[in-house]
Formats: sequence, structure tokens, C-alpha cells
Amino acid sequence: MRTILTLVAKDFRLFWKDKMYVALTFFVPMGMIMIFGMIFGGGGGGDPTGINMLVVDEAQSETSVKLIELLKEEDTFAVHTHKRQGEDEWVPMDRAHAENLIHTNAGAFRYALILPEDLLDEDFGFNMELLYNPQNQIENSIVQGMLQKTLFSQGFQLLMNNPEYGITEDIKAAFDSDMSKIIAQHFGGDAEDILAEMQSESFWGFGGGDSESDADSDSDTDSDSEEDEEDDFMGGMFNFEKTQVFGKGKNPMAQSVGGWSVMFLLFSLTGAASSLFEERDRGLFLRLLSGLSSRAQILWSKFIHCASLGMLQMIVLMAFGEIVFDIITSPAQIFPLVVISIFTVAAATSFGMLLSSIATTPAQANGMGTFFILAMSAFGGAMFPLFMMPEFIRNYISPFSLVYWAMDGILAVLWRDAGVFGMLPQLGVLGGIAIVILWISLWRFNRGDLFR
Amino acid sequence: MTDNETILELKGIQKRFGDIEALKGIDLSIRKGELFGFLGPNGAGKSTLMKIFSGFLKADEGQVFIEGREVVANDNEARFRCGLVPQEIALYDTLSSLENLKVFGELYKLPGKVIKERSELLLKSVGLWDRRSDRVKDFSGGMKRRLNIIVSLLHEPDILLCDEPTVGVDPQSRNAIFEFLEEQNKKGLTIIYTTHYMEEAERLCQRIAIIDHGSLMANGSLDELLSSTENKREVLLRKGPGLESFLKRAGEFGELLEEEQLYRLVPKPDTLFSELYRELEETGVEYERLQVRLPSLESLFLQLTGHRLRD
Repeated sequence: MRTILTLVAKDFRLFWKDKMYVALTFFVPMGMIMIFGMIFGGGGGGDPTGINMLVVDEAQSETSVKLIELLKEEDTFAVHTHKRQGEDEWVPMDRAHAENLIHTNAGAFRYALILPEDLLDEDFGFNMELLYNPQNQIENSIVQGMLQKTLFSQGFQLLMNNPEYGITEDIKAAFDSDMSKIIAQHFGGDAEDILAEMQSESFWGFGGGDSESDADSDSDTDSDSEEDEEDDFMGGMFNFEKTQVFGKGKNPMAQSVGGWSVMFLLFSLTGAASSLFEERDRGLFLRLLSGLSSRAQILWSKFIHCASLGMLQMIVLMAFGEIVFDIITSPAQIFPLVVISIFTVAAATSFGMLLSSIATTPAQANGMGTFFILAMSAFGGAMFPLFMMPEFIRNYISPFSLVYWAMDGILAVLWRDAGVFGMLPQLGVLGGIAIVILWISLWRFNRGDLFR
Repeated sequence: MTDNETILELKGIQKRFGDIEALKGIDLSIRKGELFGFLGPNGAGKSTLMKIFSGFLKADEGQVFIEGREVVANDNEARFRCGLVPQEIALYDTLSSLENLKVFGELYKLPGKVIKERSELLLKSVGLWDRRSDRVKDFSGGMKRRLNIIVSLLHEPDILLCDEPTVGVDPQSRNAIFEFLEEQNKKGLTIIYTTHYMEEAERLCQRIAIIDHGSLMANGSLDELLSSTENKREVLLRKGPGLESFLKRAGEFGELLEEEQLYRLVPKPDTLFSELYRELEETGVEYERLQVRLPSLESLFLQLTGHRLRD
């Protein structure tokens, strides 16, 4: 054991002497976590912002103007309704110009919303047209989803409030009266009181639901409310509510912190394991083995060094994630996080040892390592969330990557507050991977030319 | 059976690497306190032999004895009695010389105090004490080679195995290494030295074994080896203009070997020197460029193997 500890201490001494290696192990992943945390976390928001939306208002009506105002209130879009003509003159955007911009400047403009002259449908609803460039399916889905959300939640009020559809005050009063009686009959209460409440102007959302009063009423309620954006019941009856039912109160940047930590863990451990080649080529194994060290001691010392280094790296990166993004929301998460990190490190170290046992040169090990690590990280959900991948990959390819199980375990702790027992499947798979791969790599080392 | 003077004995050592027969039954005894050389070209089997001595490789057949005790697998006692100087500079070059000595000393389980004392002594003996805290990567080739040797002496072995320890070293550093090894040998250290440089074997080794294609061709002291040659003389010709016509006919007199500064003619056993002199005179070669001397190991090697040492 003393020999193994001496060899491990030697590896750590070599590690700390190599400042570039230290930087690559800790600071580069921190930088990547910062960058991708901000990209995917949106700086704390979540939805994308500032997507250019050209709006062509052919209807030129009060409704179309209100619709445009609604779109402008949505952070997702940067709405452009006018085009420049000459030096300082701005004129309303027209369809031809919008189409031209989408064709000629797709980098900036990929969407145009046409509000046609017959914006209000003959029966009930809006007629609109969305011009788009299909170059990015994910962005298209996001834009269309955000448009639907805005139009459904806010535009519906415009329709109901529109005299063209003949919903007069008398009709509304009659509806209110009938509705109050139905509610009193089925849910109890006094019909008069219910009617008074309904007629408090906010039921239809016609200018009601003053935002300040909403905020006041919210502040009076329990601050740990289960809803993110709890709208006033009367005013929000037809509103599109966004209620987070999964990962409540958790930071979405846990994805980036976990993902980049695992990915760089693989890189640094593969690099550390491939130092076996360097020691072989320098005749150091010859010196060590002709001394009092054995092959098993050399390999186990390398495993222990890599695993300790990996654990240190995980601790530092998770602590960094906590300091910068506040990813740990409860002290109860710490122990399960340590456990999943240990299993992840063990599997990643075994992977590094396997690469070194298969390759015959450091260049081969590095080449194979880069390919497998990037592929596993992409398929395993370390680079970006799994939901962005096709279902086939998610179901049939991702589970074959150790990164998938590591990420699943880390996110189970950080998002679902899973304890150690809740992570048994992930721990089992990672532990199994570690044992099987390590066994194969030790077998390969003894058959290969590492010690010849 | 080994006598009291024998420290290392090999009996029928064989080693194969796939289809290649690296060692073909080597039998040899090396005496205590001897500076013994293995001379042979690259690929002759010298390093394989050193790896077997050091316990890094196991022989397919045969036995190794250290002072009459057979060396077995994972024999830590035998390993402790040997110190191997690998052909490569087997050091951690981002560590300092002191740190390297500390790492290897700890691997030999030496107490910290002993490591410290011996490190100082050894570093001073090779003139590296002033550079003890510098990283090895900043050392010159000669300095690295010297450190490479003393690391193997830290645990005070009885036998030092030097596998071509002067590869890539300038003449000055080479001399410093020779002097250091001679000094250690005088203190009683048995040194086994492999080289493909004839001059090194001649200069350093008290006994030399000539090895080629895994076979031991001859062994003995330099005088013993040279006296066994068929030729009693060889001719050295300093390079220069006017030798062309002689060189064309040189094959009639013996084997002509070209070296950096000169040609070495190893005469055939039946060559008459009078005819050789006449030929040289006729081609106008000045006598000053000519030297007749006792045969060298190169000549012996040629005679034994049919090819040159550096082929």
C-alpha cells in the first residue's frame, strides 16, 4: 500500500507542477459552465429573448394595433413594424420588404407576421400568416409556441371585446347572471354575491386585472405559492398560465454545471490515464518495475490518482456551480451529490484506463478519447438537454453512454431532490460500467505492450 | 555451482518475442566488483538481458543467480540488490532532481533522512548539487544522464546495470560519466555495462562479452579477446585525397571498414604486409597517413560475426 500511495503522491506532484494541466482541469470547465449556463439558463429567465419579428399591419385597425402592442410586450420578440425609407423617414413595413429581408438577411430576420386586411375572421377569430425561414427547427418551434401563447392568452380578450362579433353589454350581463346562478347552484354561495364579483369588471379581462392590484393581492398570499405566475382568477380565466410542475424552485443551470463537469471529468481523466504511455516511453516503468513496484501497483496507483483527481474536480466544479448559479437548493442534496459523483468518477476513470489499454500510442488514446467523449457527452445530455434530441437517439442511443446515467443521477439530485435510494438505478449502472470496463482494461494492460 | 567471487550467474537464458529469438541460451558468470561490458550492435539482445537481470522481464528458459541464490518471480530481495540505469532518461522532468530522488527513494522504502543524506552525497558526486532544485527538463543532456545514473544508486545496490547510459551525450559528459562509474567500481560496486561503442567497452570494461543476434560470441578480458583474433595486426589509413585507386583494390588485402576520420583495414590471414606496403607506395599514399596496430574489438567482432559492429 505504501508503494501505491507513493506513486499516487508522485502523480499529484506532477499534476500540480503542470500549471496548464491544472488550468485545463479546473478553469476551462468553469469557463464553459459560465458560458453555457448563461446560454441555456438565459441569465436566470428561461425563454429566449429578442428574436426579430417583422410585423406587417395590412389591417390597420384598432385590433391590429392592440395585437402589435401585445407582441411588443413579449420579451421573446423584438418587433419591427416599420422600415426605413430615405435618411430619416420610417414607413410601415410591407409584405414584399419583409419577404425580402427574410431572403437576404436571414442571419437577423427569419420571421414575419402578416396581419391581413381580414384580420378578424368572419366567424370568430384571427386570420394571420407567419412567414419564416425553416433553417432552425428548434427556434421555429419556440417562436410559434410563443406566438400561440401570446395570441391565445391576450388576443382572446381582444376578440371578446370586439364589437364586430356583437358581444354587447346586455349579452355579457345576461351571461353573468346565468353563470352566477349556475355556480351558486352547484358550488354553493349566494348568487347575488357571485354576480357582484363577476361584474367587478375583471371576469372578461376587459381592461381589468390591474397589474399593481394583482401584485398586491399576490403579496398578501403565501409567498411559497405553488404557481409561478398566478394570475387573478377572474382576469385570468382564459389566460395561458405557465405553471412549473417539475424542478420547482430549482435552477435550470444545474444542467450546464453537471454536463460540463462530467464532460471535462472525462477529458481530464483520459488525459491522466494516457500518462501511462509517457511513463512507458520514458523508461519509467522499466525503472519502477525493476525497483520494488509491481504492475498491479502501478495500475492501481494510476486508478486511485485519476479517481482522486476526478473527485477533486467534481467537488470544485459543483462548488463553483453553487457559488455562481446557486444550483444546490437544499443541504440534503449534498450527500447524494457526493455519492453520484463518486460513481461517475469511478466510471469515468475506468473509461480513461480502457482507452489507454486499447490504444498503443498517446496520439491514438487522445484521438479516440476526444471522439468518444464528445459523442457520449452529446448523446448523454452533457452538452445540451436531452429533450432537444430526436426520440430515437434519446431512447436507443443515449442510455448506452455513461454520461447519460451520470447526468440522470446528478439531475435527479439537483432537480428532483432524489436521495441515494432514489438513484439506485443510476448508481447501479455507473458502478457496473466502472467494474466491467476496469476489468477489461486491466486484462488488456496485462496482454498489451504497455509493460514490454 | 558458483564460487565466492561470482555475484551474478546466468544459465541457459532464452527469451523469445513472437517469432524473434532475442536470447539463445546465454551462459555467463560475472564476478564481484567487476566492471563487465556487453558489446554488440543494436538489436543484439543486450537490453533484453538487462531487463531479465533487473527482474523487469522473465526469461522463457534458464536461471539467474545472484550470489548463488536463484532469482524468482517478483523477487524483491534480488531487485533491491540491483540498480538499473535504463537506456532512456527515466526521470520525471517536471520535478527537480531532488524530488526525483525522493520519489524513487520512497519507492525503495528508504527512510526520509536516508534519502536526504544520500541524495546530497550523490548529487555532489556528479556535480548537480547546485542544481538540485531545478526542474530536470531544464538540464542539459549530460546532466540528465548523470542524474539518471545516480537515481539507480540511491538504494545502494550491489550491482549496477547500465544500459547504454551515454547515448546522445557529448564527449566531455561521457568522460565525466566514465570517471564516476570507475570511481564507484573502485569502491566495490559491480557494474554491468552495455554498449555498441567499441571504444567505451575498451576504455571501461575489465571483461567484455560480445553478443550478436541473441548469442554470446565471446567473452574475456580485452587482451584475451584480442589475442584470440586470427589477425595480429590491422591497418589504419587517415582519410584524404589520393586514396581512390588504393581503395578500389583494398578488397584483395582484407575487409575495409570506413570510419569517421579513417579507414580500417582488417587483413586476411594470408595477406602479406609487404604486398600491402608496395601497393600503398605505388598509389602514392604517404607513410604518415598509415598506422599499423594491434587488432581492435571491431576486427574481432567482424571476425566473429561476419559483419561490422555498427551495421
